[in-house]
Amino acid sequence: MKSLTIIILAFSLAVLSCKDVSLTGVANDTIYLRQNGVDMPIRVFGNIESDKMILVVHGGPGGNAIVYRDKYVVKNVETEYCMIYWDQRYAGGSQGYGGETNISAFRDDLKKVIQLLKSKYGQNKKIFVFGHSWGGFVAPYFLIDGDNQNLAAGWIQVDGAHDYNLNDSLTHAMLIEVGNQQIALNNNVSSWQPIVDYCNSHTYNENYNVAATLNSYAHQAEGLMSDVQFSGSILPPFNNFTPYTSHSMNGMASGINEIDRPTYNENIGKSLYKVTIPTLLLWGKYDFVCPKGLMTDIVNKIGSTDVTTKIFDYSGHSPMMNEPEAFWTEVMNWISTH
Amino acid sequence: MRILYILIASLFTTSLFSQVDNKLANTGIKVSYQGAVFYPGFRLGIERPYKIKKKERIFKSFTWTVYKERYLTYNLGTYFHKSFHSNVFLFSEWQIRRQSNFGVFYEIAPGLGFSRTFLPPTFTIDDNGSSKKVLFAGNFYGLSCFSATFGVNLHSLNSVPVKVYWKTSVIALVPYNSLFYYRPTIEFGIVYCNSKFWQAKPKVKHKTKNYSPSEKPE
Repeated sequence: MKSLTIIILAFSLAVLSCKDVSLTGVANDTIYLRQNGVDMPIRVFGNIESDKMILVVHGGPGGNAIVYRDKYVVKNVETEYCMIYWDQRYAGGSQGYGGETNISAFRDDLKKVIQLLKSKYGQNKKIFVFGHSWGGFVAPYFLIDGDNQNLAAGWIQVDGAHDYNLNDSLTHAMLIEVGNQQIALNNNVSSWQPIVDYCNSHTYNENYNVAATLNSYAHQAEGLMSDVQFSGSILPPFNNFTPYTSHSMNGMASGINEIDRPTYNENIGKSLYKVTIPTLLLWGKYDFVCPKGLMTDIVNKIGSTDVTTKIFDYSGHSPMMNEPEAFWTEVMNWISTH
Repeated sequence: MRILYILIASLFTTSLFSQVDNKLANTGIKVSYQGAVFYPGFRLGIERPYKIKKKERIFKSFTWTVYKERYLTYNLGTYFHKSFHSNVFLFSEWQIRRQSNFGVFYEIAPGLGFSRTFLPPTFTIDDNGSSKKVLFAGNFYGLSCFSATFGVNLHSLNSVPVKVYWKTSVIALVPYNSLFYYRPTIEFGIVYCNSKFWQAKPKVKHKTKNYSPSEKPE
């Protein structure tokens, strides 16, 4: 009995004394945040001593963060700054029984993620909230709430969907305008014609299914634009972080739960005046999914006086994948001055 | 001559039956490596036959024997996926096996059980922003699985009471974020059968069909 007690004590001590995070050098950590019945992975890679962290709020809903960790980022960004890849609930490698699906849960999760990072890595860490696509809804939704923006050193918005109604109207208009131009130029007519016909026969705000179809056509349209670059060499390295099966099932659960449906009732635009932290807005010229009119809307409504904008001429919805060098140079230069 | 042939054939098959029957009827202890490509794990288990159906087809120059076997298995499995989760699971399978008189077998097996995952360092955050580590963080899930196996019963060929097998499975954890999580695995293992260990008494049925030329219908 005595030896059993000693073994249990030794085992518990070993577990408790394990180092959970890196405080110096290059971080290569995985920790989980348990919040309202969900365990969400947070992967921390890069130069921890820079004291600057770029927190990726990924797209989707139901996407995953680790897909942003491509070869370019590993080689060039993580050597300068610390990258944080957080998988949201119902996304990527998140585990548990499901929990809350309301969008306010995502906002609360983001707050807890930042608090956890500061708690484990130091309160002095500057955290830049990097929202892309659906993450571009979650990020400002978080920033306009209470005094949340005090937790962030800056906001980087990349082709984000802060206003779903405006987003759909812009997508609808852009598909018709660019579609007609492309048909007139005799470019991919057989692909463009059904898109234009669909848009002409539906209004953008008809219902949720029309919005989903517009989103699908927007992705398709980007692939039809010859100016949009894609560099295969930046594909993510093989990773052993999360199994593909978890990504796919969480993506499916996210879709079934229609997580972004309530966003149509949230008008973030009217509260953007509250955001006073430094802001960097980055957009792809050929983004049909979240057209650049959304960037203009933020510029017109934000309260911050420190706003930088940049359009990438050879990019669509994901400029970090279309023009990685230009994109990350812009991000790193901006962070170096903030 | 015809009677002599049938007698020889039946003598041969009876001797094989009694020989293999003993080898089939034992409880086996299973040990295997189980992994999902890069993520290692292992399984320990017991397989116990409860029903064996022997089908013989007697031809002119040989006898073909097939054993249809049913087993219940009880297993403990685990795999390690460092930055995702490690999993320990207990489950039972219903094995449906076909084995030839050469010892080659294949089987399918649905199974049910439960699992407990173990996560990397996990924290909660209270309202003041303070973090607290969750000890042994992880979750209990229901587990279902389905597998297909190919193997050889070496006992049919020599005196070693061992079976070797290769198995592909899909494990599903439920409820997992309101749906389920599935994980394909591959497994290489051996089954050691010892007649003294938890003696099995399977129900044995025997069916013979004679295809020797003289017995064929006109």
